[in-house]
Amino acid sequence: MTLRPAPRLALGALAAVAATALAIGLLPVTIVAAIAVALAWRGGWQPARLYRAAAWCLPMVIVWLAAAAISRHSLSPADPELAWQALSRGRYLAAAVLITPLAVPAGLVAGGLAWSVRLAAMAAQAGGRSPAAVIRFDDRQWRHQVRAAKALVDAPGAVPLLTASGDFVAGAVIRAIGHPARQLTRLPASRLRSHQIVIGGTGTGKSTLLLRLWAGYLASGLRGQAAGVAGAPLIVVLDCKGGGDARRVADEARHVLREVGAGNVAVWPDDACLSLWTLPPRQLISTLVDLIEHGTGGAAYYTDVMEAIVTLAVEAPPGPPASTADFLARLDPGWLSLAYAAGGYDGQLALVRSAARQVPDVALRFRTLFRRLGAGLDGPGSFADADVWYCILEGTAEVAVAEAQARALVDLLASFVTQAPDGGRPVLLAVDEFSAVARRLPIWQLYERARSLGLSVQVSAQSWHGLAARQDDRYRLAATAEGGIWLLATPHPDPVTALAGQRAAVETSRQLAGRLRWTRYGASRLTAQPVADPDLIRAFEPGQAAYIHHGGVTFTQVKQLVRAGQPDLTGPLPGAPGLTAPAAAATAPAAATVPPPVTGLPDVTGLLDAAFGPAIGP
Amino acid sequence: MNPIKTVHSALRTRRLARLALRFLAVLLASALAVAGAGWQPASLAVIAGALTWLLRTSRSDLTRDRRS
Repeated sequence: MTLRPAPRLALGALAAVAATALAIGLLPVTIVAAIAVALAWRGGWQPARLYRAAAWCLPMVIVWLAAAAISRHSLSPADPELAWQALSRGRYLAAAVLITPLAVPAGLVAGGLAWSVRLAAMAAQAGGRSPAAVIRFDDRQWRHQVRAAKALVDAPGAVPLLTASGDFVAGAVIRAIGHPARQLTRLPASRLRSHQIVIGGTGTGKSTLLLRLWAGYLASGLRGQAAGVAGAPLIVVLDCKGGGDARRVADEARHVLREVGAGNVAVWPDDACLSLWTLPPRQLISTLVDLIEHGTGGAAYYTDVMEAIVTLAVEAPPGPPASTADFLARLDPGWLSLAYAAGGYDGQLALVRSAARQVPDVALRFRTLFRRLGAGLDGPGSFADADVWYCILEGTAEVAVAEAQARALVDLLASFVTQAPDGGRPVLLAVDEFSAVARRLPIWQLYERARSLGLSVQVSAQSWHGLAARQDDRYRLAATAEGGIWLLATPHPDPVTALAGQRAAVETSRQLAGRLRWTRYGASRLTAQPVADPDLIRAFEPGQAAYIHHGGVTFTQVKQLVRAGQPDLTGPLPGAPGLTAPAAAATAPAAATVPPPVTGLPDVTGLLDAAFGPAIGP
Repeated sequence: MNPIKTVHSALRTRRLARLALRFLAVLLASALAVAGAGWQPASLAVIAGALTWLLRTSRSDLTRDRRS
């Protein structure tokens, strides 16, 4: 049935009068509800927060009812009546106190309901005086939400790295769609142990986010180690850009991760070494051959010759080479002939004789390669020597060298993981700008390999296109990032936001009644809108990130890790085999630099967590 | 001066100040409730509500500096 305009207006007026009368009749509740809505509007809160606040009034209500029952032997308190009496006598404070146990929870619930109606109306584009009001409302709410998230992030102790239950906290939630509307962006620790992708350009806060993710992985791993459920965590970072910026991030990572609990943080190759020669012989042959760039077509012949000569050098009777010098010394027809001169190696001797003319050429190529690679892969040292390895590859300045280094480091890590007893240590391989060196080790291959080895891989890039050279590879990477995708400000977020999918939304049209005048008549229909709005991501400020996972998005203000200060390196230093003097100095025990705990206040974290659940902001 | 000590001193001071302010707010609310309405069930309820708020909001001041 459709009412004509006059009866409709009359009905509307009647409803308005009834609502006003109710609001006046329940004035204390109305006042609390109005304050609650104003706070929610200013803080960009969701209605759930007001409902939670109402729920936390339960102790107050229980005390009120209990006290009334004890004092008056009745479960119906007389305070509301007393409040009206006090009000009529001009005792405003007494009236306020007497009505508070009833008005505050009821007002919060009423405010939550009113706020949810307002939000729903604006989301359906049915609220406001004009259609543009919806846009202004959303912009304003975004600003309010950002302000509240920044305030939470700035509050000391409000955003811990891990919650008491072991969840990783990235920062404060600005807005969540399809994810739980919490104050803190919390991820289960298992999410950090899955593949993740981080996309963000220079100056967007990517390094801050990466440092926090690494610190979270380390802290979570150390907690697991302390509980006896896993080995000590290991983080290997491949910074494939190189240069001064990489060293600045490495320095920051060293300090921050040591404060989190890392015993040793090694920066390769600046002050720590790894040994390529610890690889098993078959793997060593494969790696050495792959370090040299080969052509295609007819060049395959030379590849085979090189592999045969390298195999002869590595598998010679004295055992595998122990160093670069040892290996290069073996690339000599005389040395090889002598090594295989003992009986039983007729086949190898024949091979040495037939390849004698090519051996010096192969030696020349390896000599050149190792000269360019430097001493970083010549040991001594192994991934076991540190909790964190920050490997700097000069992918911008010397691409060919960086490609060879990346190949060697990945092979070394794979060998380290496969040789570890009982599954060994949980390992995170974080690869920054791997596309810079991925020509000879496609990132997809790395991903697959890591998956088979049980490694967690975190790939980061400046843009969607920087993830991999081919579109197919990018989508394969994104589709297998079970740990989620972190997206910071980028001019082209659309391919990534599309991965979050779409959601059903109500779209309402308004009837235009004249110049810039709209009536309340119109039509609504269901439409599909992107879960992650790409325009919001384009306009991100530094430090803001969108976490996309499982068809939802959480817009986050990332919390920067607090660096307590310069390390105190005056104490005795440990000597790890793979670390040179500066590295040993930089890997002093974490205890030497971790600041003393706050002694002025007792630590009652466990008690509070048990009583109130995981921490939230103030 | 040691920068570590400086940062921690500042943090501790700020936390203590916040905690002290919260305590003062609870004391003030409780005093006002009792002064306004006497020892009524409602004033006891207000005190209980204020204490709940204190416990709920001051946990970041009471927890040890979980590296943030």
